[in-house]
Amino acid sequence: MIENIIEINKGELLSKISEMHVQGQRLITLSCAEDDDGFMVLYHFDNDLKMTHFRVKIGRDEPLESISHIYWAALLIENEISEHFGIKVNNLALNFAGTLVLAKDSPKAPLLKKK
Amino acid sequence: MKIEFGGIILAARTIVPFGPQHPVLPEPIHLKLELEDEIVVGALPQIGYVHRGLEGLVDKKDINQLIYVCERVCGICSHQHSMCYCETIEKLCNIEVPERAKYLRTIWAELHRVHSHLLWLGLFADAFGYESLFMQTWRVREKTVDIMEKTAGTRIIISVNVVGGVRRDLDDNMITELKDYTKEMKGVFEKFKKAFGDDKAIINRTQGIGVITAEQMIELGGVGPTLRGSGVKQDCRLLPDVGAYKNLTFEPIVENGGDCYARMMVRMRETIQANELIEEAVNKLPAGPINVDVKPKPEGEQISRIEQPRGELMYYIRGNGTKNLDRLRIRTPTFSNIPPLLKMLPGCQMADVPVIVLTIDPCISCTER
Repeated sequence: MIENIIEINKGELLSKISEMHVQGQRLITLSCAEDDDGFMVLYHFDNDLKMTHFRVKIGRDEPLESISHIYWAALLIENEISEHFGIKVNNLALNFAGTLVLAKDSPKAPLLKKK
Repeated sequence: MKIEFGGIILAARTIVPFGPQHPVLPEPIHLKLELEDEIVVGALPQIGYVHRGLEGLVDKKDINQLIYVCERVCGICSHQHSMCYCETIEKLCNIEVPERAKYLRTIWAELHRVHSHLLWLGLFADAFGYESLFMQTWRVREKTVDIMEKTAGTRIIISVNVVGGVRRDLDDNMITELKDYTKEMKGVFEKFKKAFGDDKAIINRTQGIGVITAEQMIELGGVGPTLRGSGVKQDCRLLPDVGAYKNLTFEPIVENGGDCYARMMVRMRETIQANELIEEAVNKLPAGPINVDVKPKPEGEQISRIEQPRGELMYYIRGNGTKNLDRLRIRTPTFSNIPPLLKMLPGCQMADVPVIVLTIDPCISCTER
């Protein structure tokens, strides 16, 4: 099992991510997976090869708050998650509007199992 | 857009498309470069030319078939992909891999690093117009892929990893050939280091170009030689559960310049170091089995990281107790190095863009999966 996973709710997300930013943690990436009732998003951080993860759960039609205003590098990952799973991401620093990795005529949300 | 100062037009801003074809590298990344005369003032990336949706194959391929899918995420560092995938499954299922298998994985991983870095060094030489150096590095790279063919049966996608170990062993002849190879390469790589590191034309073309600081690299999530070129001592080979590195003499290669020269020298010195690691691993190769027979049906989630030639590779796996995974997530190093690239470009000359782009060693097929 994965060590150092901290379960947080949606409302805490930005404050927790800001804390990691202040601590100088490197954002590795975000991982998104589909659950029965929605999605879970893991935020992976590293400091001297020690990983910390935050897990946020969101409902199927709920939007995800972008962390790209805290970690600018997250914008590519969040755009990709949005395209792969059809999740709406609010306040993206740069919104590719579904065309970062997919084309306009690509299948929508290709990694979504329960459509 | 025109910029005026006291009624005089100083410069005009224009948008110049760069890519998806790179002058020397067949990796499709497109950049919208905002220029003020010849100086880059901003850049926006566009990818999506080779997106395959490989992560979506978890429903169609079982756990063992996915090893071969993961190998095909990247055509250069394929072994590290399958190694990271197998290590994640092994951690999740508490499978104890035989020591000999860990050493064999490490030997092939470092051979992949050598051929990947030589490929890159050749392309980099070509990018700044040093074609004879390009030919020499690729000539030597052929010897590296030849030794992979002799030891694993194929040249790049060697398909040696299985869950529980490896499926090919080294016999005495192969071990002798590997020892001869590492001995010969020592002298060759030292000559390359001198050629790349001391040549005035190369220094002029790369030093002080595309500078990025350690703080900026961490802030933007950079990894691998790109990160270590800015003085950050971060390397996943230091992790205790990756291959057999904990039993080998290993210290991450770091350069402090933060520029194209520093990133080039990290890769050059890592090529020499990889050769030493192969030599040490071959000399220490323990006897014993090369795999354990397992039929994994993982349940739960796990993460593994290993150090690819381009940097940190991360696999997240979630299993549901069946022969198919629930989720496979792959984070490749180039994906993490695109934001730092966008920071390196502003302030550089348009003519330096192909060189700077190359210094992150972009692998877009990896990035898009």
